[in-house]
Amino acid sequence: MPITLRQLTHIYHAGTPMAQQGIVAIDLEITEPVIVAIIGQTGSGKTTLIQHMNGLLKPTDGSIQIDEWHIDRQTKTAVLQGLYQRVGMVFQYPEHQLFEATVYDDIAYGPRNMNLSESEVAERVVQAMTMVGLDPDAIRHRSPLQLSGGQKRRVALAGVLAMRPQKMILDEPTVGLDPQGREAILQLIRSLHETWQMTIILISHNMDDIAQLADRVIVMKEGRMIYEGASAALFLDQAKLLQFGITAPYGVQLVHQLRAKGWPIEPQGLNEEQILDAIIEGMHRQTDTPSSTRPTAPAMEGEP
Amino acid sequence: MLLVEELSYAYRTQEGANCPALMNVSLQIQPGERVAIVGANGSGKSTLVKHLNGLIVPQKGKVMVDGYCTSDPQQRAQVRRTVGMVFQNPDNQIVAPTVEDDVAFGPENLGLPVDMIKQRVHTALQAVDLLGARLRPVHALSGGQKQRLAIAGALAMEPRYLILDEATSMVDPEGKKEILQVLRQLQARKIMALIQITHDMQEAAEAERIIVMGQQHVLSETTPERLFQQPQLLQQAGLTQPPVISLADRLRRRNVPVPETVQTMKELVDCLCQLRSVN
Ligand SMILES: Nc1ncnc2c1ncn2[C@@H]1O[C@H](COP(=O)(O)OP(=O)(O)OP(=O)(O)O)[C@@H](O)[C@H]1O
Ligand SMILES: Nc1ncnc2c1ncn2[C@@H]1O[C@H](COP(=O)(O)OP(=O)(O)OP(=O)(O)O)[C@@H](O)[C@H]1O
Ligand SMILES: [Mg+2]
Ligand SMILES: [Mg+2]
Repeated sequence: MPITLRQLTHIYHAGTPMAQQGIVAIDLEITEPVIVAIIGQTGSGKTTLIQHMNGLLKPTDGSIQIDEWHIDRQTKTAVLQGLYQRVGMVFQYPEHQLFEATVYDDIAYGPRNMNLSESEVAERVVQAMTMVGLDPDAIRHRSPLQLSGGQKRRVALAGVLAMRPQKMILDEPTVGLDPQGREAILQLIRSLHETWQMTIILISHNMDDIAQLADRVIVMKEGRMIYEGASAALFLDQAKLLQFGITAPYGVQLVHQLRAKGWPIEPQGLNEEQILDAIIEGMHRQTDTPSSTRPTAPAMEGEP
Repeated sequence: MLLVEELSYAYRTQEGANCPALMNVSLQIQPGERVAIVGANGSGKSTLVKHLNGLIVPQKGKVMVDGYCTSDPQQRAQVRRTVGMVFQNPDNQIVAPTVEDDVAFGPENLGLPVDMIKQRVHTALQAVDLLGARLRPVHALSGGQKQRLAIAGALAMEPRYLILDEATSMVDPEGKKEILQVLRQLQARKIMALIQITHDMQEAAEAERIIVMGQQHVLSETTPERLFQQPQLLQQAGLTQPPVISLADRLRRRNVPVPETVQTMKELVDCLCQLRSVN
């Protein structure tokens, strides 16, 4: 069953003078399993949107269906208990979800609430810490709030991984990670999706993250969804990028700039190999030459 | 000038253990410079810059800010005024109930005339594109709006040195470009030094100088051009090549003769076009 949003709307402090539009009338179906990225300017409604997907926020209008849960403004919080375990959420600021006295207890919090034996909890905690690149022995007794920024992000990620949720919602998961840590986490996300068919919904301002990971992209603007579709279709279409004010991933920027210089390049997709293939092909192909007649080996070119 | 001499610092953790964060660090930053500080998570970057505006003081060694010593409580007000700082998490520095009040808070504490405060608040909010949210309560801002606000607050103090600790990490790419453009103009006119801690290697590549931190030490003080041609150092420091250099590298590995001097997107495009035309 797809995740289905119908006219999903959230107005903060609705009906008061402080009313503030969060998201407005979003209609969307997300077919699982999938990796979806949500992009858009600061304040465009991304966080508000995803917080509906694990019941943290309830719509002020419209509804959302996720697995067996149907949530609208009347839904009681009590019926959403199981949803928090089904859908793991990593917050935009890790400080907002770190509250136990030690790193160990913080990561163990979710599994303990699932009534697992303490030995199984321990196994999951150690596994999750290893997955996010934290040394279990070195920091398990430390306070999660007395860590560096990137270490906090890793603890928050580990806490959600330890619950082994079916779906994960990640609000800017690579912010604060050092470059190698970022690559490791991207790889982890991809493998969770490929190995366990986990659905991943992530918010990111890093278009390279998105090009590497996401099959589909949602673009938010001023509380509304202005685009939903395949990520390659969006990023390879210069007109759309301009229309929505979106910066392309670096590889794709290169494609667009070469196209502007008359190169005939059509990458098959967004991953780096596809981009490089297309550029190298474009290099050996003159603008007006149909691809079937182009020389196959560059060595031929020097001959009279 | 910011002068750090043989600085060492260890945090005391809750269970009473010592957690060393900086060991014997010495460095200098000149007025008007543009410096990037990079390195792995936990390598000591935030701890280092918190010393530069006296938020924490050396346990060993000393830190001098334009001649003022951060360890002397009587000189600390001057230190804070000289060095502005935007933290990793903006919640740590938002102090007033509304956007406008928050930005005005610092200049008011300097005892500036009302007109001047208004002018500074306006300019700072404009720089981060928050004029429209002037009257909003701060708790009702989105994550990235809070980062924008924190930058405006620091900017309104017109510091001689501005330190951004991953301060634009949650701002959309277009917004980030606009904000950095304003800051760079101030830096280019030598009105302000710009010191950025960042995990964004493309951003680091645009600095004049890079300080690489690794496990409580300065691993290297170098230029972007040199740093990104040292794979071993990058590996050791948890870093990667910036995307443009990495693209150039991968093209080279596929036998496209892109010279190693190519650093920017424009250079890469020009070079590829030239290679194509001689083909
Ligand atoms: N409040 C604190 N109490 C105890 N230890 C701390 C505290 N803050 C940081 N540390 C430790 O000091 C070391 C250096 O941390 P620091 O925050 O300076 O790193 P960083 O380079 O800024 O990392 P990041 O890229 O993750 O922000 C780390 O080992 C960290 O765990
Ligand atoms: N708790 C709140 N109370 C009132 N208004 C809010 C609250 N949280 C967010 N808003 C407002 O709702 C709108 C959408 O915010 P949201 O946090 O969803 O944006 P976002 O797309 O996640 O932005 P960012 O990239 O900056 O995190 C913004 O105008 C924001 O100011
Ligand atoms: Mg957000
Ligand atoms: Mg830090």
